[in-house]
Amino acid sequence: MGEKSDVWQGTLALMVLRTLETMGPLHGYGLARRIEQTSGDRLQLNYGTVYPALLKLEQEGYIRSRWGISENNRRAKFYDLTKAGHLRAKRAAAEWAQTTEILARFLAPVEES
Amino acid sequence: MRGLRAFLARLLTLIRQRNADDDFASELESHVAMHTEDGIRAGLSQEEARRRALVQIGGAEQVRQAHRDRRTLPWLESVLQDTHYAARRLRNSPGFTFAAVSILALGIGANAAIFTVFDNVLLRNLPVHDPDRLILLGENSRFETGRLNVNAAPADLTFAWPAYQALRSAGRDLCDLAAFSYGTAIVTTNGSSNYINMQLVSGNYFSLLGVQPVLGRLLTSADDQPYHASSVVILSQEYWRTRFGADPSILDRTLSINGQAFTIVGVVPHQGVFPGAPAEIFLPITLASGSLLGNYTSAGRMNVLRDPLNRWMNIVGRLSPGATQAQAEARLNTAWWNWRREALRASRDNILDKAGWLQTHLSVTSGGRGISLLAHDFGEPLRILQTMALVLLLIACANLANLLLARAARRQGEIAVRGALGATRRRVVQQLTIEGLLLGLIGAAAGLALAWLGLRALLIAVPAGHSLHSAIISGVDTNTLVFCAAVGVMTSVVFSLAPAMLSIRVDLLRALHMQNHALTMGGQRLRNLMVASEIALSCVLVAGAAVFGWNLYQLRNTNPGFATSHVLTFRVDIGRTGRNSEQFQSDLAGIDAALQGQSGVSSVAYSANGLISGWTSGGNITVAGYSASRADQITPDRDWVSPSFFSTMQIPLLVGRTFTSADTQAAEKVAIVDQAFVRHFFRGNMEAALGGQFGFGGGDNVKTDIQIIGVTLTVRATSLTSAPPVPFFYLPYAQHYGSHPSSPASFYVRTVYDPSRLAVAARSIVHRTDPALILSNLQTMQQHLSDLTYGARLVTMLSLLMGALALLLAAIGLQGLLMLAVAQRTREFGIRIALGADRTSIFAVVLALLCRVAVPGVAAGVLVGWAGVRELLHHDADLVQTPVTIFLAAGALLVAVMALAAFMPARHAVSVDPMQALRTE
Repeated sequence: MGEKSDVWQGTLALMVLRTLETMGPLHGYGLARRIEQTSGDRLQLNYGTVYPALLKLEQEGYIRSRWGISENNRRAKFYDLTKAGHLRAKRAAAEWAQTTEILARFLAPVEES
Repeated sequence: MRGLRAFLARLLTLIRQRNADDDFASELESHVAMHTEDGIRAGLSQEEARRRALVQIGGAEQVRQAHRDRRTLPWLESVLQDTHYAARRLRNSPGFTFAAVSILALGIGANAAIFTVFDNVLLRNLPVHDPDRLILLGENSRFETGRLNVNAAPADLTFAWPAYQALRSAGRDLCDLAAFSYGTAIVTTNGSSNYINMQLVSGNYFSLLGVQPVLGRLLTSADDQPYHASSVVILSQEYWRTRFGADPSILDRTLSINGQAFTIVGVVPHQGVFPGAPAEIFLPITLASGSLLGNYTSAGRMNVLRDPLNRWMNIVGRLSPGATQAQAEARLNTAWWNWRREALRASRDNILDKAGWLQTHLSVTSGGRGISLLAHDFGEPLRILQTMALVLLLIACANLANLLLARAARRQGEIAVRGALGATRRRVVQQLTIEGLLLGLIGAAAGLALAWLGLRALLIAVPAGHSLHSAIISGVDTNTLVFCAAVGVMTSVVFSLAPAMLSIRVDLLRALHMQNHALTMGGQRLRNLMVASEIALSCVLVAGAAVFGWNLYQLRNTNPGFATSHVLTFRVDIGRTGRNSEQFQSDLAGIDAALQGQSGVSSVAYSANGLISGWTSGGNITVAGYSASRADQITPDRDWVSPSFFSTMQIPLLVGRTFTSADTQAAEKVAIVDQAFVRHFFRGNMEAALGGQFGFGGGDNVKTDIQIIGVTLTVRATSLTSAPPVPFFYLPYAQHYGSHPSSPASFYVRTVYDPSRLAVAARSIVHRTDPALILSNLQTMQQHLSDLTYGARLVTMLSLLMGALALLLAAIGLQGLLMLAVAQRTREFGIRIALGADRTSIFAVVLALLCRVAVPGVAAGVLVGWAGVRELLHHDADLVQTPVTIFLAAGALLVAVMALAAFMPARHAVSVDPMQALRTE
């Protein structure tokens, strides 16, 4: 497990949604750290890419943002799921589960019949 | 859905948020601060922690850029930026912008205005259900009957009732046919009578067109039973609204039409199939066999529905689903030939040219546009004007392109600087394209405004109440808007791209060194070409304008052969209001006498058709002792006149006597013929003509009982065109009554003072004589003739205007080109003058420059113009041939204008101060 994987195209949004769903409101830094932790430090995450992804989700209406105070008494922008975001997170998770399951069948050792 | 939401959010940010950059900067700053704190907590130094935090976000500037790109729409932002820049540039060079916009506006405006009229007159479909499936029947035949003027032009659209019946049953499964006929009726409400347009229609007419009533019912086949037509009338919605205030209780009321009572049974949102002459009422077509139309003898009336030679109605059809026009044409032609053969068998005696009767073809044309009288009158001139307008647009485009090319040559320095500072080619092209687009859109908008103004101005030139009014007043429609916007935008894009291409080829280094001269040479050739084409095209327009101008000049100078000054004319109609012929006779005599009694009136006359009134009566005659071969079959025109007609209109009598009050119904039938008549029927022998007789109709059993008693000079009694007049004869009005109880009469009053001063008196005399009389066309004879030529005047005015604009544009283009060329060669001129060149040789250089552009331009223009003029004269038979001298004069004008355009550049060149010129380089 020496090498870290890059974040696959299109999966960052799902990670953001799931993280916010489980953790509640987070600021960008906290979110990036949390994603790394969740992956068991196996993902090579460029923290900068989190922000355009957050902006896109916000424009699409899945999350909203507001300025608040962090645990260390610092001004930070917090992101939170909207109602549409909750729905989206559930649906996207289900879709991914299905995709990985299908892929797993292809990757599984061939059974002799 | 979400994508759209995101797009809108980005669009909104573009417009609204300006401090988003700062907002994100502080978010990023807090991110880095938190990360650094965590690093310090993990044991790193402050600097190392911060460095790692920055590395981990992957470069602050890149993140900021990525965020910015995501925040708004970058491409749109650059477009907005470029638009802003382009607008500023255009504002900063007001001279260029004004010139470019005016050039485009002229080109587009002329096209929008003419296309509006063109579209309304020639392209507009009838507002009925699925107009594209409608067909019109027409007939092309070698045959000329003894009863009707055959209008040979492309196809005759009139048919006899029996032919309609035969065709309708034969074509049933391919198309349904309906019959209709146009006419004017006199409607009397509350004691006052008015002319209105009516359409006689068959019972299936409305259902065939897909018209639904807004009130009451439509006509049905029960209404148009031959000889038993119902006395019912359908009103057009427009007439119902304007005349009856959209009264909902109008149904079952009676309306007096031509003195007969009709029951109103319905109102339809339909104005007939004659655009330009909207029908106000619709009556069952078989009423034509009754006394409704008045103008027929009782025998003629009965014949309307039986006589195969009496063609009086039009046929419209609707193709069945799946059937094609060609199929319908083939089927209907078979039926048509069968019917013609049978008709020949049945009425052998009345058909003189039996072979010609069978040489016939039934044509099926698309009927979606109806039968437009305007298209007939103005179609050809409009097509020509539209072509001229398009040529003008081409000239405007060439001029604009020229202007843009010159500007591009001047802007190469700027573009090189932008390139050197790192602007991509794509961005440069985008910026130039946007500038061109902006210019095009402004030009198109200005052009549309100009078109609107132009159409308003045009309205002034059209006599009020003419149907062309509605074609103009209906305004610039969507089609035209789209067409013009497309032309404007396309022109601007194409011609702003040409300079863009030129700019891209700029060698940065050389451009920065301001070595402009070599760079502009490529553009120079293109500009020469543009100006040469402008000159060529303006040649074409000037030639066209010359043709129209000469035509109008000829028309105005045509001597009609009768007196036109000091004559007041008006038309009186008594017929169809229920009065009988004796009453009419006494009315006319009464009006005549009362007018004679007015002071300043020297003589009064009246005639049935009138002079160039649009009313004509033709028909075959048989002259005793003259046998017609088929080649020279001619149907003479005729009129019925009062005894003083010839003296009042000053038409000289060559031999014999004029009519007197003794030539009444009871006396011997007499006629006065004109010279053309004598030339045709008596080989020019007037003495022989004086003893001759003739009778109406063709065939072998004609009674030639009309005695010729005099010969007059030929006058242009029916039209002002230059075509040789057909033979003409006059009959005494008093011998007219018997067969035509109610035809209207045109009065001619000769006065010693200004005839318009008599108008009020004339009106009151007519009204006093009988309030039921309808007086119309009250005007002086000169006004009447001037109204006749207004169409030609309008067309000429417009073509002259376009010719002048074309010349102006070409001259501006030429002058601009020469000015630039002279400016570029200032140093050369300076050296030449310093070395002792005199003014003539400098002048020769400029002249050579001029010739290089103007000579090929004029040469091409003469060739194209010559072909164009030939085409024009070939197409429009109404135009008179233009003598070569007129074209030479137009050419001289062109050369003079070109010389004038070259004058200023030449003066500049000659007045170059050698010291100054050499010092500035």
